Amino acid sequence: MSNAPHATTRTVRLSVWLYKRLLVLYPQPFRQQYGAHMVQVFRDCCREAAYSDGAIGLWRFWLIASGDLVVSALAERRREELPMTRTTWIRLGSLAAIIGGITIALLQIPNTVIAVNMLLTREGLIQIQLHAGTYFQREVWSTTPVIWLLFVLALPGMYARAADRLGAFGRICTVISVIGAALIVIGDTIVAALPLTQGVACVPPTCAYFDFHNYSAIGRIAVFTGCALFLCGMALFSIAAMRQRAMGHGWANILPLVLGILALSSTAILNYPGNFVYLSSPSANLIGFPLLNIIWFHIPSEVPADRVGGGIYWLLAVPLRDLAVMVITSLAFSATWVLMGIALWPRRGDETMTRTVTAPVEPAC
Amino acid sequence: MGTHPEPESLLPLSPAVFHILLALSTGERHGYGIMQEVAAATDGQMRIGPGTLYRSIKQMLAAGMIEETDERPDPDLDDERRRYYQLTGFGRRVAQAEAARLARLVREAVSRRLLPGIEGTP
Repeated sequence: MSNAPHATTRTVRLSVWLYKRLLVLYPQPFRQQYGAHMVQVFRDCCREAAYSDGAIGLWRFWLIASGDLVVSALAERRREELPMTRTTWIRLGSLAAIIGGITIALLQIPNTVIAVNMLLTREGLIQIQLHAGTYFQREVWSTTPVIWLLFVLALPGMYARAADRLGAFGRICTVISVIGAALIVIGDTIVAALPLTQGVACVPPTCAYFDFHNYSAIGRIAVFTGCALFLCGMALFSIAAMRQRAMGHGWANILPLVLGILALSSTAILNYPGNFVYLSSPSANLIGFPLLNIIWFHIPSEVPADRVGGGIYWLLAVPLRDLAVMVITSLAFSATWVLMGIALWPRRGDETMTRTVTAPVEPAC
Repeated sequence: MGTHPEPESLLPLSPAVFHILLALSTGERHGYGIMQEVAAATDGQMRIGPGTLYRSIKQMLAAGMIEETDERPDPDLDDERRRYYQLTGFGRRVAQAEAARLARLVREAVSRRLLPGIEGTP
């Protein structure tokens, strides 16, 4: 007797075993209620496919079943888990904004210490900057996309807070902003991935890595485009929010605009040739463009050789520029997000509102 | 028994739901039986995967279109762990409403000569 039926049975058993494991993709209540029946149906179908068409039939059925599994699991998860209440979105957005903002501030602690030390102790502490920069550069780099992911999460919360007054227009603005922020995440990830994956030491103000295919340029374009979209969405949102007083606190209505301006201006700074801000913070979450313009064109990026060791102007001016660029503006960006988080935090009365911000669950069928 | 909405308010049905209603219109069936019936009725063109099948069943149970039944057509030949489903009165009305809606569409297509081989009325 041939081994084929035995092999088929074994393949079916293996398929069922694998399918059982994949059921973890479904939400737990659904799995508990229907998991066993789905496995039973799957086993029946596998047997039928395997005995009628052999391995090809089994593969064909797996193709259908795996596509079905992914699509229906995602749909079921969306149905059971994502239709969160408005308050949940607001709370989540608020937490994301506060955590993201505080993280930016924390990342600036080393820069703050270095800059202040440079101001106080002159050229000797430049060495500290070099060492600290070497250690912290990559951490900042790799953290930036994660921070922006938090901001992506904060945006639906912002819309949820204003949804009652802004309606569809607010939703469109939020979607534009989310797309922009997502592009920033992608761009920052590309930019950060190059040095992070190559293990080449970064020594400010340079960071050497290989980029034969010019991926960093692609990343920067993504960040730039993302920032432009982010600003558009946030500016429109802010204008509408100010007209409708949609965010509760009066001052909160202007925060989206401020965040958009900070994000885009920082990207403009980021693209200055040889800009060390770019090295310290790829998404360049910081800096007022006018401030940098004033400072940048009057102070070169390095202390001229003939001025090292003498001339209080250069010794103070360069660190001062560092301080302005790397710290003050970072903290401004950070503080704005924290303020946004505070403005979003659920208030008494929010719980009673029943409106949801997700698309309504589709009719029963 | 709860009150049901108007059948028309649930239209249009998804293809999977309508096929399941059609499969159950001729008698109670278990999950695998429904899949076989759907495949047979459509010459294999429509295949419902286990996930879509049970998601649809869950929604249809919640909407009161179908219900579980304890009866077994042939208990000796069947695995008692299987769940059987049958159409409710409301489910039948929903199926009729959807069929009527589709029939109207087909008539419209025929009148516009979009169905080859079937003459439309001017």
